[in-house]
Amino acid sequence: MFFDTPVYFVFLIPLVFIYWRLERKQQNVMLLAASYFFYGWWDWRFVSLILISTLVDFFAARYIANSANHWRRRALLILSLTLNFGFLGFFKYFNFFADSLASTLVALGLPAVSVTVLQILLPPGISFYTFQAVAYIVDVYFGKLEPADSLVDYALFISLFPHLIAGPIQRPSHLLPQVQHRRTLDPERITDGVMMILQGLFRKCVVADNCALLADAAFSGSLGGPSLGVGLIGVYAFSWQIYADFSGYSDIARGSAQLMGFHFMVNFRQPYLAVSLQDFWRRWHISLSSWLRDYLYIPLGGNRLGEVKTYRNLLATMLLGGLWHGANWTFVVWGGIHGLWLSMERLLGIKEPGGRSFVRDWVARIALFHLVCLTWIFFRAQNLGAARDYLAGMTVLRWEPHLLPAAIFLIAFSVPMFVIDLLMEARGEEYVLQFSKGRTRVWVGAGAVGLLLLFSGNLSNAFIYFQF
Amino acid sequence: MDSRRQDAHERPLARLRVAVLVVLCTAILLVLAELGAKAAARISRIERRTTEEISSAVRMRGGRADGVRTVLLAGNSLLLEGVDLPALQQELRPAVEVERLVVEGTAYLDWYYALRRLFSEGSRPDVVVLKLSAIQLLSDGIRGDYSANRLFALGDLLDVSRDAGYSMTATSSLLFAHYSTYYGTRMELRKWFLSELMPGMKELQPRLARLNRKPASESAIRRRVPARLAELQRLANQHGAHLVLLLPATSAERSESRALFDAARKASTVVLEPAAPGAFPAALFSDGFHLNAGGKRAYTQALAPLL
Repeated sequence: MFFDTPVYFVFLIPLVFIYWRLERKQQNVMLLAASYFFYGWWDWRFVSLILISTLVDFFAARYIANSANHWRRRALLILSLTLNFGFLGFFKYFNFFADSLASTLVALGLPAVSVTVLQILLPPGISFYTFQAVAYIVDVYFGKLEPADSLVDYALFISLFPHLIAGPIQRPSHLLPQVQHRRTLDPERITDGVMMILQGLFRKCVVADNCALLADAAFSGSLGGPSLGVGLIGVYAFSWQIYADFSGYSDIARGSAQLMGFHFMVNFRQPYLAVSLQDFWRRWHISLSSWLRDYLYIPLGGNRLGEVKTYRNLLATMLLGGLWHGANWTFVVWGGIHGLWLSMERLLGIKEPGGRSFVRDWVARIALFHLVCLTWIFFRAQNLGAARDYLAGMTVLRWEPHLLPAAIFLIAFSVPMFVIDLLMEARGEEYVLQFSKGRTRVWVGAGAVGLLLLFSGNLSNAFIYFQF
Repeated sequence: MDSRRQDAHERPLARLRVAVLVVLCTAILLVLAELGAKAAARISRIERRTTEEISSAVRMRGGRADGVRTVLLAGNSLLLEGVDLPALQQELRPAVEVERLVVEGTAYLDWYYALRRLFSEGSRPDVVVLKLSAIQLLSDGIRGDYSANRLFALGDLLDVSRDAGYSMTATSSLLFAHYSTYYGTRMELRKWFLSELMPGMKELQPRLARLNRKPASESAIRRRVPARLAELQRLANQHGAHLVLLLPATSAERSESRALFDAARKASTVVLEPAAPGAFPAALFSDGFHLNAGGKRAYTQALAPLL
């Protein structure tokens, strides 16, 4: 069930009320059942997949922690990783690699090979809960974490419904203790939860869904023929769409978790205010970027093996990070551009801002925003050819009258998001006006609801990151 | 000591007051939205028209003793922009009484289930004339929450959802939309607000709509349309009506008519074609798909004798 539909709140609200009447163990059992129900609502056939993965990882972790035999521990780790990445690889990438292999053989002039393309459905959330499971087993293996004693607790850590389908990817050291210990009913957390949910709904339903209309029209050609005007409007619209969509989802997920006393990690910190790409990746999809840093980049050697290998590790991490998003070469190219730019920043010695001037910071922000927008073209396009055509279209200097209302439409829905980001950045908040007086938050909350009711009637767009 | 304990007790409650107040405001605004949507349905020209046309359609009775035939013209914007109803009514009186039901953005499934609801509420025209293009006859889409609110019966929602390939979440939204005027018509409200607030929105909105105007393949028409027309025919016959398919005027390059005629013959459905493909020049179309005022006049003049 999507977070922006009435049925989600019909599910969530009674659940929260019943939840706070139970003891911790009963709460966990109830939440686990609710989470599997939530997952089964998408597609009941995939509940067995997450169950198998959960059982294998739970027992593998316990044996790893209790065994002194190095080879046995390693074998269990490999078993768990093989199962997790095997499921992910099969469901997400089988057809992609089969198609790519066939195309490559043909391109090399070799005889065309008939490769079976299966009608494989992508299990919802598999990219997210797989990474969470891998983090758990690896942390246990390296002794950074004690394995869970209770299967219910571990299963709930993996499948807690607010994060199950599209993150934020929770670190076991952060979420598992919360699952294992009593949660207290804290009025401030409840308030935070409600406000986060409202902020998330505003971002998704008002900003993202309306920007999506423009982005779709630009990328499909119905906004007008290829031109710089259409190209810019489309890419700006998509930039705000994807940010508002995903950060909105994360807000609702975090807010829902807060209502039950769980604190999820922050997933976005005003990424379009970044002054360098390194800074951007500390602000965008933080749960994924930190996972890639800790479980891929650093194990590859990070920056400890010399300059050349550092660049190799950066590029490999970003290429795989791109591929994580989807089985399409466009995502690989997107990741590759980010990897190359990060390498270039390192080569040029561009470090975190410190004592920079206001003007320099804003020039850097605007430049970086446009670089990121450029990469979004690859993210949004159906294939590399479409991305190339879109970029080529932007070299055509032509203005059509209807582009003015399109630009006004874009500004109307993106500026509020930008203003929210400026406020949150200035005040260090997790949601807008978090530290303001109660009365202010009530008015802001009511205002958000009002805007939602007026401007959220778009065709329902699924959250973008649900497809990953 | 007592005042400190009292303060410590009141602080959490004060914090919770924010959440309670926000939830209360949300509830109040939801009620206002619902009332507002109901009021808008009375004020909005389009919604008033739809409500009146649905009422007229429900009141239609066939097999009249005075020999007057009752015809229900049903369709989407192709009908709205393609047929001059007052002129047609005047042309056909007194032998034929024509009522119209137009709901824009609708396709086959919308009309199948809309007719089911109309018939179940007592509508009994002699003839139902349905104007849809080939692609709309083939479409598995519906007008979503709006149709759930205005056109579909509660008992049909699960069948609609199955036929449209809706997920459980989308099906639950149909259910909410069926009962809530606000939820069912929020897209129209949003469009109206935007067109009032933002300059140039009326010209921009058609470009933002996801329209499929590609011609349908003849093989798809021959494969799927006969069964759909047969379903509609069966539904109409069960309620004492005949179904007639009315073909829209098309430009020369759209060659679906032959396939549609064949499909209709297989389904034993009468087809009316007031304008052969390409008979109307481009000058009679406003956007290559809908007729302009001149085209509307010409099409209506050609339709009247056929009815």
